[in-house]
Amino acid sequence: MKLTDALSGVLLMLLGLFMLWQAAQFPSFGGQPYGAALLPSILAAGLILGGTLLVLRDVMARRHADGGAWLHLVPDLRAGGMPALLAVLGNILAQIWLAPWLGFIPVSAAGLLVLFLVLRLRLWAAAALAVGTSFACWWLFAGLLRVPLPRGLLDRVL
Amino acid sequence: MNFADVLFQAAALVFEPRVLITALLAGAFGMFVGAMPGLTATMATALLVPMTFFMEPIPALAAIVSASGMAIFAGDIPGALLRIPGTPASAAYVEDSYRLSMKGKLNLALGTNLLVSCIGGLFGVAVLIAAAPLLAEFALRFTSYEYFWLAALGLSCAIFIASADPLKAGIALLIGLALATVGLDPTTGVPRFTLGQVDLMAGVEFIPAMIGLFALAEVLRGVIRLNRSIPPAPMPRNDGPLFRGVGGVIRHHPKNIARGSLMGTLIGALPGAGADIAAWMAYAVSKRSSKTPEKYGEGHVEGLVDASAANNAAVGGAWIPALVFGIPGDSVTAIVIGVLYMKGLNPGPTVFIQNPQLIYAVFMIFILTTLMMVPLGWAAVKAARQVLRVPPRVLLPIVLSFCIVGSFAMTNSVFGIVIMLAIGLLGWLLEENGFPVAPIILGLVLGPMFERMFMTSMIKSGGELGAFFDRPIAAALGICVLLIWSLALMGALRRLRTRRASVRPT
Repeated sequence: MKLTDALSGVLLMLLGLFMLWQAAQFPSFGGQPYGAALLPSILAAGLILGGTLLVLRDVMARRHADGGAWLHLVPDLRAGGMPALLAVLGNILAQIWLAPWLGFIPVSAAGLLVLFLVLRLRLWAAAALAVGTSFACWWLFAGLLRVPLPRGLLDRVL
Repeated sequence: MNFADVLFQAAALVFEPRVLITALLAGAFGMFVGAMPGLTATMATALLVPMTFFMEPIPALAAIVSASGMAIFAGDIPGALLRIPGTPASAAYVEDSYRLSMKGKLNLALGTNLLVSCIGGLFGVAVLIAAAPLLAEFALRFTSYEYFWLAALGLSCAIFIASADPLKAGIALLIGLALATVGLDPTTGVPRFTLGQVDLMAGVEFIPAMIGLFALAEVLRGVIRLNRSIPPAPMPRNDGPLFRGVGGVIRHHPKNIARGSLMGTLIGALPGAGADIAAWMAYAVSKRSSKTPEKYGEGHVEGLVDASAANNAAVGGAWIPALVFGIPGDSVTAIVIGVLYMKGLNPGPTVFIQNPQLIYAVFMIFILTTLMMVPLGWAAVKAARQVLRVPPRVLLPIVLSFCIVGSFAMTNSVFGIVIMLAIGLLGWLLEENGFPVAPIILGLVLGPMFERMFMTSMIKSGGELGAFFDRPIAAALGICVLLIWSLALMGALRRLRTRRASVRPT
């Protein structure tokens, strides 16, 4: 997704204002004129300044040339990249929300299967790769490195 | 402990089957990742770290040194075969190496790349070995004032030297610094920007953030572009011995090798600028000082020699500030510093005194892996035609799985995945909009040090800003920082004025 610099500038200014507002609530450091709020406030001021400069630069550039739309999708997203993007994000969100109940392996295998299919792999190749990758990750991280990947349904099987 | 004892202990740490096998496997992994277009050396390191987390410090460092060096060389392989640089560090001379291979000189191009990379790498290591202990002795006298200015210098370099658009680089750096302030404030213990989340109290977990920025963002870019991907160019054949004629090239261009290696090491040692910028600058300098600049880009071996030496020399150079001051020279050493802290080895001059055997072990690993690059690189070139047939649509989902599991492993909870996702999306959006992401990581690594040194100095001086210039080295560093900023501001004003003058109707 592509924003114009002016729009990014405004967003950065908002982020700076949010940081200033939060920093104003940090308690001060006993007996010192500066404390936890100092660096965040400086950074916030920098973000507001940077955002302002971006807006100004973009507006000045637009006066001499037609800047086009304020926000546009990258051509690749319109050309069919969107399902792939959603499938990747879906895989990650499923690992965050579903894997603690269902376990790593089923969520990973199902998610990867969808992703491989969205990327136009043949069904048998997609299924084999999805299952293979999930078990390989499990073997390497949960088996060799003893990372407590969520077991979920596996608890009942093993 | 005398020097011979230190060397002996270091050798005992390094020449252990487990360390050597780790270096070999990590090197092969680095070769693979570097050779795949779209997967970078930083990504190889970021994906490797969750595994090194479970190792002793020496094998962990061996894995990182080995993988990053190999990946920088391996980036040359698809450049010559497919005209696609494997890593951004090989982009400078991709046109030359591809044209060479189309002229039937594929082996000459890749053989030169490999041997010159090895020489450049060894040069960078030699400078690292010579300079780091000397600098460390010097740095022992540093106080919070000097460290404050060093951190400020590192942050300024990231904005003005390493980027085409200083404004956007500066904003990216501010974002990185802001991310570093999340969590408990180190001086006062106040929670900042935690939004009520207990998980955020310890701050933004560094490695999942790196995986997000350098691996997930790349996966997102990759899958979105898959549908557009053009069928790959026909691969030229690579029969015959790899190194035929390479000796001649090296004998005819000793000056190029020396110049490229020196530039690479220096640029690598500058905070924020790594192998990518070293290669571009070495190529540009080589072209400017060549007798035949018109041949550059047409399949000329000269620029390839300079830039190939420079990008591998930068790998060693980047470790100089990282080991001595704890200030990363590039994105890979930013990860290394994170790993060192995780292992309880706080980088800085005291490591050179308390654990000199560790430092010399790192030096030995560097020499070893740089030499190992030649046989591994030979094998990678020979296997490249098969390896490069692995389509991105198979590779990217596998990388995604590693991102997820790797981030989970760093926190042992889904929180690592949440951080990876958030920072990965942020990095992707920023990069799509022309903001460089390397300054973010520099801000994230240097932020805590910058703030701690500033607060310590302020408390020591009772809020007196003049104290930052009281000590001679601090004053010199401070003047450097102010000079960089004023030069940059003057440059920006001059550009603005010339632009105004040029658009004004005449």
